[in-house]
Amino acid sequence: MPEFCLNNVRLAAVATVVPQTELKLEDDKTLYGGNEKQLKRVMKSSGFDKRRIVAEGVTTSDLCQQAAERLFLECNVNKEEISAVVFITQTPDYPMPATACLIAYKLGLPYTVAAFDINQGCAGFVYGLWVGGSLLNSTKKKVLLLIGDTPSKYTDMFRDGAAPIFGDAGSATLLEYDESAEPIYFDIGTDGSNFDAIIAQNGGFRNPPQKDMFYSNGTFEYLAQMDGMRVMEFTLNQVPASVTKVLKYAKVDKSDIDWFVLHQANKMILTNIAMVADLDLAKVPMQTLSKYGNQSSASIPCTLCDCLKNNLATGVHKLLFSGFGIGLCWASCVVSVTNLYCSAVYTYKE
Amino acid sequence: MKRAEFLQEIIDTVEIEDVINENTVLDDLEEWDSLASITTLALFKQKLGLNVGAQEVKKCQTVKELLDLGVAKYE
Repeated sequence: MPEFCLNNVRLAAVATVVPQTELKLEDDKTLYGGNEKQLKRVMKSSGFDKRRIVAEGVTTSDLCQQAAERLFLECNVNKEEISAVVFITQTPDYPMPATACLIAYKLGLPYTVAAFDINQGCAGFVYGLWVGGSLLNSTKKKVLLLIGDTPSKYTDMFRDGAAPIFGDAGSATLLEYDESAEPIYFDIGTDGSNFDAIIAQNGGFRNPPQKDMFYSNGTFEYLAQMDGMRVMEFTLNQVPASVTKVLKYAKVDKSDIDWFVLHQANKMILTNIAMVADLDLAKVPMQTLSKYGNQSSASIPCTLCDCLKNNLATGVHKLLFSGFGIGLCWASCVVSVTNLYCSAVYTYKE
Repeated sequence: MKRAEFLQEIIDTVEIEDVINENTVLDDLEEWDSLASITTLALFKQKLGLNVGAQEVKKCQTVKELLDLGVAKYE
């Protein structure tokens, strides 16, 4: 897709919720066959330390619902003004219906609301700004984005050999129609030839559930896998290029960007993107991943709340977001925010 | 960057403790695992500006084969 821009969209508020249970990598003696030296090497280069996982029975929509409730309360949102709710996740409550319908009901949104899900992972936040912003231009009201994932549900992603890097999180973002808003510039792309570089093989309709797809402990064998080499190759080739492309399209010099808020994949990937794209590392927050793990589509909103809450609360700031991963997809955008409200990173309450 | 310097970058970044030379078989190194391969892939891009494919790195059996992937860029 070529670059494109959206007018009249104000990124108004973001809230993030993480589960209570915190796991520390160093406490898991089963990883890498108990090879502590290897675990330390992984921790050092990836930057991962802790992550949060949901309790049994809690889903992504629960986290997002609480994030939305926080946002409504703290920003005094009139629910009647919300014209659409978009739930972006790869861990919906049900194969059907769209979880957004259920959340709209639970949040007490009016019957006039449009509600649908989007299956997107690490690029999900930027996709949300694009889709939500496009909706705003026809409804001219407010759009609620609920973005998050609970990768811990894909239990075999955490088996030995695949890095236990993912953390669960949910977020809520409010977009408002505002004719005075600066345009948001996007660059979005997809390399579907690598669709299986990150994949859950089982459980959809290509490989529907069968009796032999269960582990001895009764959990379902999603066969969730990631080919780290292919993902790294993709990241190095596509993401710095996308960052450069969107800056050029927006006619913005990288020195004019206040923060490059990148998907918190891991420290090595973020550092490499910054070096290849020649970004100032001081403007690339990467503390979130060591505290919460790789939070998939929620990593950008969580980084806003965790690292930039106070910086963004007042004034005008120019941000570059870039999400990249499963698909394999990438999506970058340059956005000017004015008095952007970011909540604290809240802990989910049962 | 010279070939020997790039080798030293790999040794330092992957934290290879053994003394190695170009004939060393990668799988004989305790530190050579998927993380080391990913790190090396990134080093080709970062230090030499080269887009090396994941499959190309995976195919390498020796340090020499690995270093040969960057042959077009050494000083």
